[in-house]
Amino acid sequence: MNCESVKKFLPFYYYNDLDKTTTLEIKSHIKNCPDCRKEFNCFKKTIKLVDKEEKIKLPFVYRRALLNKILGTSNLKEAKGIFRTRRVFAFGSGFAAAIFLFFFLFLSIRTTDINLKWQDDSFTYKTEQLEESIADIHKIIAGETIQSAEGHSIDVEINSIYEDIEEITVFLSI
Amino acid sequence: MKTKLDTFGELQKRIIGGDKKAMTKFVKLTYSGVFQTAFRITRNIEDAEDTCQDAFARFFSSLENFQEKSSLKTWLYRITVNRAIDAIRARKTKTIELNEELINIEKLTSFKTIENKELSQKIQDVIKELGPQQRTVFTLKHFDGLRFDQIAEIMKISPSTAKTHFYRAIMNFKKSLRDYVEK
Repeated sequence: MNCESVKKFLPFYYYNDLDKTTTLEIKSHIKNCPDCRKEFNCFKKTIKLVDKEEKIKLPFVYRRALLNKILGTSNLKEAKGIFRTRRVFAFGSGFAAAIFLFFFLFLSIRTTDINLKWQDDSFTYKTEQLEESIADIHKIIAGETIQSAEGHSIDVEINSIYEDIEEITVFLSI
Repeated sequence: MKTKLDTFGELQKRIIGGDKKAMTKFVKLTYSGVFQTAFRITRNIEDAEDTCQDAFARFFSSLENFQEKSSLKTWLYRITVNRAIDAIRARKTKTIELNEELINIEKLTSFKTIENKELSQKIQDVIKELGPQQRTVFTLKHFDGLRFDQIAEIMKISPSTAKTHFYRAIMNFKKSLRDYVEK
């Protein structure tokens, strides 16, 4: 692959949107071509700048008001009772992941004094500090392995975290 | 590779089954992301808020027509994106209070120093100059982490068209921010 083609593929390479063969080809090319490596680094820096700019953090009061408006304009009558006096954080995942979380959060109760309880299909615990809680979740889950029913070790990683007014939902991929 | 749109399997079944509690949970899990996507496309808080409210209202009022060819979240994104693009087009016909709008955006962003404010303004300008399609594809790809086939489904365009819009958006950023990148 020549430099011109590689440069056209760089954005897709960065976002991991190429097939395996093309990815490896570009990876190898960048490693050996200073010009394309420079181009790729420029591209990464550009994206970093845009990222820095686009951190949108809505104030808590605004988010609460927005959620109220949405629930008020939709047809969800029972939504009126959803607010609780304290923030509640929920962990949603499949059953196996939930079991995994139980063990790790059980340990975290002892170390971080988090009050864990089972509710519906989610794990919830109460805390006052949203940011600290997200950090806790990462600490608890990052890089851990669990045992499958067959006794194999399975790597677990956070697939995505949804952060809302009252809840953080963690989806795991196993 | 799993994306945000792939993670609501069980909840989706309950929503389709008419479970109101599941619907409420779905709103709570998605409204923040829907708002952010709407804001990134419209670049205007008022429009983003209206888009967000309207998208959910339309979503629930037409739930009975949902065909399980795609996920509920893909469907919600499609409604949101269409509504946001409509909002941009409608706004073009109105007189915009530019200063007020910039103040609103600034409140939401994290730049503090004078140099950063200049950069911030530059990035805002580039984003605003992107056409609605380019801006939407970039938002869905970069910020929402969707695959091109998902973006294509949401926007009702082909994956190759989505890739072209994305590439052009990236090239616009690259060209406009070159001075800052090479510093």
